[in-house]
Amino acid sequence: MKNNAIKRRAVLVARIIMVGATGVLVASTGLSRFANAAGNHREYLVEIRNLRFVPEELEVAVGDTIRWINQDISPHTATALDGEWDTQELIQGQSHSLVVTQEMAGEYYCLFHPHMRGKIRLRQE
Amino acid sequence: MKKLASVILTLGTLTLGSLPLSLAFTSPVLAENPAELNDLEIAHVAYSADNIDIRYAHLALALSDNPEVRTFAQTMIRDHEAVNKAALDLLGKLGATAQDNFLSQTLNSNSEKIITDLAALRGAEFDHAYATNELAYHKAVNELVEHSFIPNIENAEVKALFKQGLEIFKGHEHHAEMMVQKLK
Ligand SMILES: [Cu+2]
Repeated sequence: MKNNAIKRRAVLVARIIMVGATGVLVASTGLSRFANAAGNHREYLVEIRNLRFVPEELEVAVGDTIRWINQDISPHTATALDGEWDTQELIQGQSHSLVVTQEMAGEYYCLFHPHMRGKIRLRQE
Repeated sequence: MKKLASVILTLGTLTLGSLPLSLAFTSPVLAENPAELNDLEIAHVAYSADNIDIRYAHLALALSDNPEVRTFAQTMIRDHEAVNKAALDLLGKLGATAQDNFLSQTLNSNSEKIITDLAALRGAEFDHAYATNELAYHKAVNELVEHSFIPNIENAEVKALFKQGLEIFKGHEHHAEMMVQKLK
């Protein structure tokens, strides 16, 4: 059971890829700490498990992609507090990607479990 | 064991407070021990507890106009149905069937009484009683799952499912707490 969970996590981590010219596979969640080379948009992964967004806070640039994947039995959403953007309902194992826009900076939550909170911070180029 | 008894009393009387004390104390439940249920009986209790909360939620959707309460009730239906489906899928995979037992029966008959009482209320009174009942119900069930069921479940996959379920139900407890605060 535990081994499976670890394996699944490894696969997910490996899926955090750099999108763009290079297409390099980066097997590291510390990606957000690296400076963003011009023209290279990145994909970030937020796992939803045990009613938490993991990581809870994300620093991204406009044009990057964030993918939310639900690992819980219960359905969730990632939704802007003002409702401006939304992943729609994600059942277990389902994911949804959004390209980051200026308007996405700030707190978001789960429509179904309003106490679940996440935060997007914008990195200035 | 003392703690268990108090949990079961809570499950029996909940917050409507209309069950006579004598009924709670003479309840046959106290003669039996939830910690001695086998995995398939535990699964049946959890399945029953899920279905009871789904019934409360349908009552709330029928009777409440409060958006907060309706959102919560919809989440209860969505989540408890998802957990029940996961449980049925797992039992199917294991080639097993949940087994009815004294605790499932007690939960079910207690819930009939609570539904009758709730159904007589309207407006803010209903909302408040529903929210308070949800908080007490999740607290009591979580207590039972965490301290009586999870330590005693033998099958590793069933145990893992209960652990995931507990995280979800603790989320509901927290959500119910927020709802009760707002309805004050
Ligand atoms: Cu959620």
